Formats: sequence, C-alpha cells, structure tokens
Amino acid sequence: MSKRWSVDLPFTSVLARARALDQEALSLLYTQYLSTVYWYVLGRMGDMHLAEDVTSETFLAMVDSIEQARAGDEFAFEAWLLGIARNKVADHYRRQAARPETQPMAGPWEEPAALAESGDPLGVVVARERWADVVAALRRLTEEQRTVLLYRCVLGYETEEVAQLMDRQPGAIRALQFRALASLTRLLAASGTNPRLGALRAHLSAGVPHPLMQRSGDGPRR
Amino acid sequence: MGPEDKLDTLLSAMRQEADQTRSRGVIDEPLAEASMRESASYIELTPLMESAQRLTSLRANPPDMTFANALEARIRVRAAERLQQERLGLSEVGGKLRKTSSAWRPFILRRAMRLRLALIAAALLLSLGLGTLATAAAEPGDPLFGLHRLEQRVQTGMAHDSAASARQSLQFARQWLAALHNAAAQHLGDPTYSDALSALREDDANAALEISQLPQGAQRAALEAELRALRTDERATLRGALTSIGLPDRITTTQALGALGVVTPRLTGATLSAGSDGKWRVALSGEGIEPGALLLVSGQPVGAVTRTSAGTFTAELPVEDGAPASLAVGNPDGTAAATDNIQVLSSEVASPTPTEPDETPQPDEQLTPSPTTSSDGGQLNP
Repeated sequence: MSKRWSVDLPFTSVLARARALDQEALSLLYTQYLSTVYWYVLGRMGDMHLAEDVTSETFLAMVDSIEQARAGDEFAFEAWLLGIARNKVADHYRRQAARPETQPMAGPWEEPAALAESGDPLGVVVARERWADVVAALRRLTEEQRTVLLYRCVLGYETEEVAQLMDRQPGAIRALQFRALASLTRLLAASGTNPRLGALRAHLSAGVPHPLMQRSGDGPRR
Repeated sequence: MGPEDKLDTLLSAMRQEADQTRSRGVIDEPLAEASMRESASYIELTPLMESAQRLTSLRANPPDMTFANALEARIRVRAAERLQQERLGLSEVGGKLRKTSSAWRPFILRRAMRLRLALIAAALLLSLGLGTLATAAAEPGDPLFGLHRLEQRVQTGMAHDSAASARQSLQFARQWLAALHNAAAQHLGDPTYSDALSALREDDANAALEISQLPQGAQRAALEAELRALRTDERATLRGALTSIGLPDRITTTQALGALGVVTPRLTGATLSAGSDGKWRVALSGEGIEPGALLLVSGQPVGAVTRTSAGTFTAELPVEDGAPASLAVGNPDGTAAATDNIQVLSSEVASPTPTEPDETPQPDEQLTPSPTTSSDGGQLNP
C-alpha cells in the first residue's frame, strides 16, 4: 500500500526536509498519512471526537520527534507513525483507567456529519451504519488479532506488509487474520446487530455447530 | 489452497476493488460485491467476509475537513516554534537549516500551487469563522491573541515567495514592536508585554530566514536594510523598556537584546557557602556583569556584585529561609540574567579577594559578543 511520491519529490527528500522542521515537508507528510492514522485510531477508539484528539496528539508528537525517526523508506516511516498512534491510544486508555468516573467507550457511534450532510444517499446509508458494536467487538479481540484486522481490512496493507509490520511470517499472518475474523464474526453475531449475520445467529441459538465455529483456533480475549 | 489462504485472497481482492472504486470517486461499501459473490462459493467464508466488509466500510468516514485543516495549521505552528527555539539556542543548527533550505527552494516553488490551495482553505476557514473573532481582538495580552497569530502565520505561509513572506514578517514585527513599546510605557505587564515580545522575536527571525534564502541582488539588499533598521529600533525600544518591566520580562528582554548583538549579562552558575557572620558568600560565574550590578532574589536587590576575575564575581546574601532556588543579577542599565544552577557548600570556602569595581571593563571582561556585534549592534543572523 505504498503512497505515491513523484520522481522529482522522493520520499527520502521529503523526510530529510521534515527532519529539518520544514513546514511544507511536514505538511506533506501529514497530508499523506492523515487518513491512515485517523482510520487506525478510529478503529481502535470508535468515537470520532476521541479519534480526532488522538490523531492530533500523534501528529504533534511526530513533529516533536521526527529528528529521531529511524526510517529509511516510507514504509518504515509509516510503521513508526503508527507506533506513535498505538502508544497514544494506549496512553488514552491508561488515563481513562485512572479516572474511573469516566465512561469507557462513551455512547454510540456518532454519525459522520460530513457524510450525512453531503446529500449523497449512499454516503448517508454508510454513515448510518453504527460502529459501536464493531469497535466493541474489536476491543474484545487480542491485541494481535485487532492489529492484523485494522492493518489488513481498514488500512489496506497487503499480507506481506502486515507481516513486516508485525515481525511475523506471511503464513502466520494469514492464519492470524482468519482466526481474528472468525472471532470478530462470532462476537458480532452474538451481539445481534448485523442483520446479514442472521443465519449464523440462528445456528448459534439452535446450538447447531456452524463450519466457522469448527475452524476458529483461538477465541476472543475476555 | 486452505481456507486461510482463500480468505487472504478474497480480502486482497476486496481491497483492490475498493481502491478501484474509490479511484472512480465512489465510496467503498458497494465495491466489494464481486468479492462477496466469489466468497459465496466458500460458504464458511461468507460471514467472515461480511465482517471484513464492515471493517472496510470504516474507510467511508474520512477525517473531517475542518479538523484536518486546523490540525495542519497546528503542525505548522509547532514546527515554527521548535525551529524558533533551535535558532535561538543553536546558531550552528540554524546555519545548517539555511543551507538545506536553499537546496530545497525549487521543490518548494514546484509545490506552491498545491500548497496554496490547502492554505487558502485554511485561511478561508479562519477568516470566515474564528478568524473574525481573532481579528476583532488581536492585541497582545488578549486571550484570542494566539489565534490571531495563527491567522498571521497562515497569511505569511500564503506569500508567493520568500521576498513577500519576508516583507509580511517585517510588517508584523513592526506592529509588535509598537505594541511592546505601548505595553512598557503604560506598564501593562504580562501577558501583554510577553506576548508582544514573543511575537516580535518570532517575526524578526522569520524575516531573517526568508531574506537569507533570497539570491544576492537589489531586492535582498533592500530587505536587509529594512531588517537592519527594524533591529536598530528594536534595540532602542527594548533598552527603553527595561526600566518599566518586572524581573521576568527584564530577563527575556535581555535575552532578546543578546540575540540582537547587544552585550548582555549571562549567569552560568552560583555557589553558596555559609559564612560565620550569618551571610551566604555567593560566588557567581558568568559574563557581561557590569560594575554597579546588584544581586537579586525574588526580584529584590539584596547586595552588590563585585568582580573578582574574568568570569567570576562575588556577592553576599543574608541567610534567612535557606539557600534561594534561583539568583539573578541586574546591571545598572536594566539588563538582567538569572540562574537556577546553584550549588550550596556545607561550610565556607576561601572566597576570592574582591577587587574594587572599576568603571573601565577589563580586556577579558569585555565580553564575547553574543552572538554578533557590529557598529550598530548586530548582523542579519536569523
């Protein structure tokens, strides 16, 4: 999932310039990676406003520490940036845990106002699909399962890239993503929010083993 | 092919379809229908693919444009602030950056159109929304002053070349110099004075940086002359302000004067040893401390400072509540420096014999100019 950098504007030059705190170069990196970071954080947190806060923290931390970024190419840089985002998400949950009066995963998924107001019927339909259950189910997976699904299905990395990011073999990633999707599917079916999974829910309620149940290797984190 | 491999293939196909559809300007949701149809032939994979598709549809929610523009502006501000800090602290780093900037100038120009579009969007948002409020209350010390500065940075960033950007920064610097003069004359204190000083230093440095990127020629010479004139006025205004402001502002103003090439005091440390007469013997190290300088604790003078040798000074301080956390020295002209690098010795050590204050600075005391000194007190170092 490589970004498109033109020949006369190679990534290494942009990064070198950004390390010298050039605003244009930093802005360019930000523009290129905003969606990646935002979607990753949104997938982890579920709430748009929280995702915006953590995305902001991630990019400001990028400016503060870009001189120390050990990245020789764009993929390594992306991995470094996602590492910051992962730490910021963890920081958020740590802070939240230290404040028991606050509610984790507050409220339902808020519809993206921009899409809902765009007048695009398809966009509105998509926007209306509530995400709270998906994110809640994701949070019940193991860290590795959650990460592989976000990288593969949300950020769109190829299997080999995910293997590189997670320091695993591609075969292990394929097995991990299978188990992760199986676990996620079971959790979503059990929550009963996805009408398209009615058949699977029927299997579950009737106690009839579904082929999916026989394949999954590891269950969700409890 | 096992189910894990088949699922992997289907996920890749779904991703590809999504990318293709997006490139045609349609959002993800309906794009993966081909993958879904294919997955139907693997009945046990269908629910998994449906879950994957729900995850993928997250991409239909792009970051909000207002948020994205605001964050980009914050990133630029953060970068400018960090660069400013480095320029003030590490002149050699500044030189390296200037060289890099020159090498990158063609790149910046090629990207000008694309960047301008983004900046115009940000400027429109600022000017139509919060910018209106900021403009209405743009004076230093106002709670919205930071927002106004952000608006100005965007405005400077939209300049079509370094010369225009330099002119803009010079204009803003003049504005803040006048505001600083008023704040000192009317004893407005902080944050009015500190806001004005901070903005002045930033726009001065920005102007110098932009000018340094210009090729030699009449345009550059004219801007350099304008910057020299600004700095002459800055030195006069800042010196004049020293008698009207509190100690913290005197210290920052002294630093600003030092950056402008004026010889200013600097303290690097202090050693306190308790004397038998109930006083601290204070040994100070530093430079630029003039005859008649006073030792200051919490902004109040507590005794005279006497030069003992090049770079070392002594003073006495009454022992009251214990050793102070920081000490400052104020020169007769109002310049001041402080240090919190204080070492407390358990017993009195032999203190150097003071010499009488001498109105004529010693050759080795006529301090190393910092960072540059010229006939009018400075060069165009950003």
